[in-house]
Amino acid sequence: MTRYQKTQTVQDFDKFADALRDPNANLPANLRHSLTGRHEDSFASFAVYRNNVAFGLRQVLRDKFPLLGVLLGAQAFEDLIGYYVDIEPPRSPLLVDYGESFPDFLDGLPSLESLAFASDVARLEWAMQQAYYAADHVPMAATDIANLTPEDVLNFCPRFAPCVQILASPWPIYQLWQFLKHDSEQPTFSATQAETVMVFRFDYEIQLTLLTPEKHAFLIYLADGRSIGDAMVEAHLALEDFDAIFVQLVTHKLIAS
Amino acid sequence: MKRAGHGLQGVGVGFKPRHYEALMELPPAISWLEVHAENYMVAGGETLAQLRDLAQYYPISVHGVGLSLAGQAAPDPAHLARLKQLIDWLKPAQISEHLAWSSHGGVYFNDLLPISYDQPNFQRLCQHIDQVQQALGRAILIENPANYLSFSNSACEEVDFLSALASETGCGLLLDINNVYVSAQNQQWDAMSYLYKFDYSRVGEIHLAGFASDTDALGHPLLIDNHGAPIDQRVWQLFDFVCQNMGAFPTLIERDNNIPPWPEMLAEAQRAGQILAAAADQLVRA
Repeated sequence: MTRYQKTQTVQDFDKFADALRDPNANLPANLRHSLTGRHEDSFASFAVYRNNVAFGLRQVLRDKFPLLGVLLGAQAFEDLIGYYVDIEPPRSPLLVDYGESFPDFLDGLPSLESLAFASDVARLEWAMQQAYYAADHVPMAATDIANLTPEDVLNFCPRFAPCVQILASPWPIYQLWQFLKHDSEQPTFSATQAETVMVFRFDYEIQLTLLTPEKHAFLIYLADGRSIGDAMVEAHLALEDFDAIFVQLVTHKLIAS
Repeated sequence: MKRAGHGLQGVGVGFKPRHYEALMELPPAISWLEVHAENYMVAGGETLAQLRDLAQYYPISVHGVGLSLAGQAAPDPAHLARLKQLIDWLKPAQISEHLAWSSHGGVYFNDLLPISYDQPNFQRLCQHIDQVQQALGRAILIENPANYLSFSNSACEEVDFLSALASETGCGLLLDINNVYVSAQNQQWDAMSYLYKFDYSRVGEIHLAGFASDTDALGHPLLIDNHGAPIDQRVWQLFDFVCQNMGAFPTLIERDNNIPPWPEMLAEAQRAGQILAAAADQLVRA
């Protein structure tokens, strides 16, 4: 018979929390099934809480990594997010941050060895989330940019909008994104086809641009605070490539004032 | 400290992004909106932009789900600071949280978890509510939970526990009538008795929502507060009872799952509005 206790102890909270994550854990002694009044039956209604927690967290991950779900198929994806929720539950009520470690978690899974690019698909989706929720900024006015002389442009050290994310992948991540997003023909690619993408937000829509190695290097130099002239030289960026990327930065309002 | 629960009137709905366009059509068809605090603790982007737009036309009620007020640990200072930041710019008409815990041992459980109604839990909850009200500089509302379990060591009824919390801390109360119905069915007590005893002098907001009918692992019937269905007829009847007998309070239509097109939300809001208006009418004639 259960000993009568007057209060819900710290140990009761510990046990309740443990049982939310472990179906085989013992329930705290103070729980009663609402209809039968028996402690032994309380597991039946306790399951509502356990299911709510598991379902809610899985849904957070489903919402954040839909393309990974397409890549892996529904069952494999559900198994993976269930495992992740078990191993790495959220530490904060700020669920917008939950899932940051998911790509690294995928890297460590032997079952994904044959789909090594899956973690980069997750990294891409995480970058898209970051771009979506990034701080707003005041873009540099088009007239101010138009008034720059060629010399001004070379000496200019632009600051990127907070939404700009760059993802360099050893895999053809841009082609993978197109395939998964549009459900088109599966691309044929080899591991040598590394691709880098710039992810950004424009009018609240998330967009991706494929970057050549030179454009990628150019943007990295700029992000480090180098001037456009320096960055072009260091990145071996051709003038027409500079024109293309600079126009894109300006028209998508990605240069902060 | 500013008393909670006097900033709203009439019927509001829980804001969902799919209803943004409809809600921006003026004049507004409903009186106010409620948002979940944690959804707006982001740096920028469309989410905040929509809230800024809506706040120009609608009083906002901020409903938190992450403070874990009934938990063993004090409210997380970082989370409280994020809530304060939201409150400071949004200046909501009302702020509410739950008689529940959701964090323990450094893990966030993303659900509203129950406590027994005993003295240590009462004292700790009072401290936590005090801390939040001090940090925010204003009173908050505390919502009654939906219950699926009972505790052997509860020393009093939930409705008395809530009254005592309000008296002790000066907080207001959020009466979720769907939760009352769900708990009453699950725990086999009388919803009307609960509603008779509720401390209406503290009520700043009423919630109405839908539930799911399920059975537990032993085959016993169990109602689940899933906010995923239209409001049940029996919950409408309880709401009508409260309005007719206890007064007209700002009332929210909640839907978090299976979110319907705007006309369906509006129809439920209008039905609640008619019940509120009839109650006000009766009050005038009396």
